[in-house]
Amino acid sequence: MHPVRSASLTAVVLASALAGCGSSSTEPAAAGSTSATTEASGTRTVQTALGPVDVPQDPQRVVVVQSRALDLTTALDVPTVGATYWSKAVEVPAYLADKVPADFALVGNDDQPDFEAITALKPDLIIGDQTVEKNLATLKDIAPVAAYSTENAEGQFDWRTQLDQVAEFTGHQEEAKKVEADFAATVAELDAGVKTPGQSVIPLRVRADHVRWHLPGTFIGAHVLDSMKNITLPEPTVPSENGRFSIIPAERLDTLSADRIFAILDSDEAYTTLQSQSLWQGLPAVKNGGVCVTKNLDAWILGGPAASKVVAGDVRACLDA
Amino acid sequence: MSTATTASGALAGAPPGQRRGEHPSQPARRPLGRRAGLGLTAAALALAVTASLLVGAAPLPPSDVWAALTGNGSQQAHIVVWELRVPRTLAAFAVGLALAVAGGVMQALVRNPLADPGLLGVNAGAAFFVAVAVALLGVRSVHLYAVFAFAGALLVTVLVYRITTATARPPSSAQLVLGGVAVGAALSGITSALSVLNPDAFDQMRFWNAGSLANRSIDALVPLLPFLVVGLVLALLAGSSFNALALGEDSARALGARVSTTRVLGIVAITLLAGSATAIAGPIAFVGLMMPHVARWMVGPDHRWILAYSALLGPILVLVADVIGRIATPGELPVGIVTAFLGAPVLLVLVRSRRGRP
Repeated sequence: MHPVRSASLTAVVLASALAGCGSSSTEPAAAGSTSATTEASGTRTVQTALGPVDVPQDPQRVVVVQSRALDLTTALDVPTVGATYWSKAVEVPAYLADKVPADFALVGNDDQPDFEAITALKPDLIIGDQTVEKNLATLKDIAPVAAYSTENAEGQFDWRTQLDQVAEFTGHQEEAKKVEADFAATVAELDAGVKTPGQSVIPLRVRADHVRWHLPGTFIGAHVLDSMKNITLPEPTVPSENGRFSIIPAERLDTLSADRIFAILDSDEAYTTLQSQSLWQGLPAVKNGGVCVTKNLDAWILGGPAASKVVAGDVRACLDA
Repeated sequence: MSTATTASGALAGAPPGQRRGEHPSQPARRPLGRRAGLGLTAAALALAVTASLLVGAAPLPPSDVWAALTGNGSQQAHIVVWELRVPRTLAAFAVGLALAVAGGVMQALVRNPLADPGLLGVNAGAAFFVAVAVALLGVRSVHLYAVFAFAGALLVTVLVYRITTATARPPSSAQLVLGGVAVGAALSGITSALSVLNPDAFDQMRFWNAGSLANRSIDALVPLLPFLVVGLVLALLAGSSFNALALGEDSARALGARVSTTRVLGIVAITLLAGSATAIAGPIAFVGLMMPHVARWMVGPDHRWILAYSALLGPILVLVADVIGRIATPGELPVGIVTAFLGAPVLLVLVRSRRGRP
């Protein structure tokens, strides 16, 4: 079981990496070789992170059980009738609100999907990341479950890799190429606008009781900052406990010494508390007006194609300032 | 009334810590006198305070800390010491003292060594108000959490007292505890519901619930100090009456002790002490339960001494737990988690050390 799963995972990652590298006309070899169409039933077999799955040729009622995936399916114009929500808000992020159909419904949160609500939506395909495995037994009785791997070939969280896999599951590969081309163009435009190339940037989440310095190569910022060539993303000196961010103790706020800090606010009060601290006030970015404040927490944390546009807007406004 | 007394007696069992042939008024024979012991405990507390000033995430050598304390040293050291470590040390001191003394009073009031200040609904009230503030009012400031926590602790204790006095007059300690547990359970249920319905609130409450002393400024601490001091004075004033209460409520009455007054004084003291502690740091486990135990183990059953020792031992535990929390992980472990880690083994050692004693 496990060798098969890891082999199929490798196949998916390989396929995605190839697609991501822009092998334009040909289908990725691994995915192509495993896709088999069954004309009679209207299904085809795709390789997922959890093994081969028979999915509809052209799914019309997709439910996603990972809140981050809603941005992926809507970007590909896949009809998405339900999604789980993430831990911060029981609602669809504002930048996705106009992309879901009228009968769209939230179906529990990422940790606890509402199986009854999912059943009621009569989905023809359920999409989640590899963590869907814990609910697989229940979900696959409702509809075929296609799970994507969240990491790219370098082992980094990357929504583009995920998009490629979701495109493969739903047969929307052309849309995926367009979305990725758009993203590349946006990043190039942002890069061209960097007045001082090489400046260092820290994405900093400001919470009520602590701040988090997000590491490069993670979900933060919809991959926009990671993709830019004219900025640098320093690593925190305070070690990270989870590989995603370092919690910076109040005594070490002085280590946030970058040219620019993106302060991603949980709340205005949280920022006021941070601003009252002397070590924060003494930071170069604070003294030189290099702190850019954003309240688009959901876009910065959830990521995805539409989120990247929101993040790009924040970055553009910041670098223009 | 007799029913109430019986219920109280059934809950309480023997007065905590009272040993055969030992009476609160008799000085116990100990290798060290109580006063000398108090001196040693104060010295240990001084060590804990020093550690709290010296240890932290910022790599400052002791000489830099000293320089900053005496008004010299770099600006960065000055900020770290005066704006972060000193307020944090004061907060740990205040919280430890308040919780341990409140625990001592609680155990004396209900004559049960398993009692802690939370039994009156203090923590549940504080958590409920913070949950309402976070989930329904959109509050996102640690300073405002403190205001709501304190108000919740106060109001819920008053509510518990009103409910129990409405059903029994005067209520026994056991009835008070039952009332506190019932109201606390109901409020905890609503708090959980608010958290489940509003995941963002849950996310915010996660950190408050763990009990933390990080980022506590002097400004947040000072408004609560008067309440804390009043609570401490009330507790110490009632200390000698608790000794009479330890003999049982009827016996205490027969000896001329004012049982109802003592109880009200005790409840007010617990509310002020535990309420301000919870407002400063969130709910912190084990201090209120364990430190009066340790104190009793050191000085015997006289509540005046138990409270005095608790006032020194509580801060030691919280300070040491906070220092360990600062260095245990790169991003700090909340003090409430460390006190539980430290508390349980110490309690087990105590239990073992008392085994086989008369």
